[in-house]
Amino acid sequence: MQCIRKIGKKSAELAHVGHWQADKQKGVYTVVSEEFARIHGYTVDEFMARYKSLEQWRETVHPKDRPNLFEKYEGLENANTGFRIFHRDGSVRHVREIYSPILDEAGNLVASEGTLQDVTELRQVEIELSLSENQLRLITDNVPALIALVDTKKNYIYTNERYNKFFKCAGEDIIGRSVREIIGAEAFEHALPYMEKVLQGQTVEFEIEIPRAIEKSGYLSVVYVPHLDSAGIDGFLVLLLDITQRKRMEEQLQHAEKMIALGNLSAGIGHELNQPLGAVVLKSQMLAKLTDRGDLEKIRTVSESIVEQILRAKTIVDALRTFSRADTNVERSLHDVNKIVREVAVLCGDELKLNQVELELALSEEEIVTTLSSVQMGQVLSNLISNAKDAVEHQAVKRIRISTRLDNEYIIVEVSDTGLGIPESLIANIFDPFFTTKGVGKGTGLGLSLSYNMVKDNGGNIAVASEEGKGAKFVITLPVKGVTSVEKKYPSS
Amino acid sequence: MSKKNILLVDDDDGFRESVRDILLLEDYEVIEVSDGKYALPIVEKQAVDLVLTDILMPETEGVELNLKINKMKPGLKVIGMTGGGRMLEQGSVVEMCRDFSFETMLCKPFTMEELLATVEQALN
Repeated sequence: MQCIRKIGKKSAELAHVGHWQADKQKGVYTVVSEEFARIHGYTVDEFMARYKSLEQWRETVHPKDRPNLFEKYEGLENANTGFRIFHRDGSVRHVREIYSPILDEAGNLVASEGTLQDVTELRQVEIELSLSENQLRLITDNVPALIALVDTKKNYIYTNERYNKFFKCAGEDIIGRSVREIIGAEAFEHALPYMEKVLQGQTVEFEIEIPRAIEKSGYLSVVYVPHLDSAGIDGFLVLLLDITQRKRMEEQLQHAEKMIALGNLSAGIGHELNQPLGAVVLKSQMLAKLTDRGDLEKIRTVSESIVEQILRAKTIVDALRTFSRADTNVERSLHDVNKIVREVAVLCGDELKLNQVELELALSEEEIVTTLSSVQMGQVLSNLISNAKDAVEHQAVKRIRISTRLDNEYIIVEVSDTGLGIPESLIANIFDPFFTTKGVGKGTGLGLSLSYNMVKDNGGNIAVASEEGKGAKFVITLPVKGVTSVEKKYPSS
Repeated sequence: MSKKNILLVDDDDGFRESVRDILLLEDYEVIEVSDGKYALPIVEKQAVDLVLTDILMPETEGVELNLKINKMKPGLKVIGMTGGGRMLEQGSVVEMCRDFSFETMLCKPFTMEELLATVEQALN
């Protein structure tokens, strides 16, 4: 018995729980425990000497908490009340008291007893916790992103304010509701494969159109991060960024770049055209002089060279027309890329044979069909072949190889040659308009720039891999039907 | 009076040929090269009365060539020929002549009359 009492006393001390009894009629404490006295900063004897009446003790209660507490002391009900007391050293302690009135047979309040627990430290922890939770709230609610935590059943565990606002659920309780219900069936179906990936532990990123119910047009960048607890993945974190503005700006930038390219183009075109024009003016005027002299042989060569110069001017104008055509809507339909490669190979065949260049085709066995402009694709390929032909001109082995293959959702077309390759210092510029290393009259510097634009127009990408001395390899990546862009997987060089 | 020697520098074969033929018809002696780097040894070793040079050339450009000739043979006049384009905006021809001390500048395309008048004026 003694032993149990000791354990009870000990655990009461550990939990900072004190005990008291009072005689209501006499208005004095009859029993106070050591812990009860200690909470006030006294030993039991000191406490009993200091607080001779219950009335005196009431002075230790924080004035603001007095009315509420004292009202309960008058009542005949058990009460559980939190309030503040002044410690002997003057400090304020937070306490919690369970109060029980003791009634006589007639139901009169004769005595009372209670337990008192010092919860100051506990409260401090609570305050700190709520502070850090508030801080976290503050951050997540104000960070310019939509944040949500979703469980494995794809129901919300947490969402920040911006998330609720964006999905028009401001002020509603979104917790526990399903993602499908909030973002709509269409967006949910689109995101589902990514959700499955993240629940397998993989962080995923993708872009998605904003559901039309939310906004007329726009894009979200989506990141899913797996959320782990000790048992494994219990959900995932959703981070959404509205990238509509960025997308619009990118479009504007692209347009501006096109304008700059056109500006460079017209200056370049002017310079290029003035060469043959200048020659034509002088040569035509010379014809008159030669006629006076009767130099028929010279007249013949001069007039032939005039035609040559005019044809040269025409190629420049043609290139310009193609360039501006790349800007407008080009008809796109389903085509077998292998078929286009074969057609171009036929068209370039004679020219290559004349130059003793071997063309090797290594085409995929399966059909590789996608939506594109066959005209543009043909132009790109003939451009690359023409460049490759010039590159191998002075080589012992003159070979161009075109290969096609299917790589998951992408069609890869590679055009490689046995030329000298492209020096590293030039690689960054080779897709710029009017950038050429060919001699005057041999290249306009537009071919690769046009090719780049045309491939981009068809939702694809073109990159170059080259090691000086080892030939160049141009890699065109096209999305297969149904894939919108290859930008993410194959960033441009 | 002996024939005047004109050094013609242009990397564009078609254009150079047309200027050359007209000068030959007018009884000038013409030495033609396709880049500024080939022009300098000729200026150094041969008797040249006038230089006609393109501006944009693959290696030694017209401006650089002119500055070197000015040092090497201070009295030798150099006429520039330009296709304009990025290198030269309209109206900056005068500036370019002043800044790089070209005798004058012919803008492609120019006529036979412009060419001959400019050459004659420079030689007198």
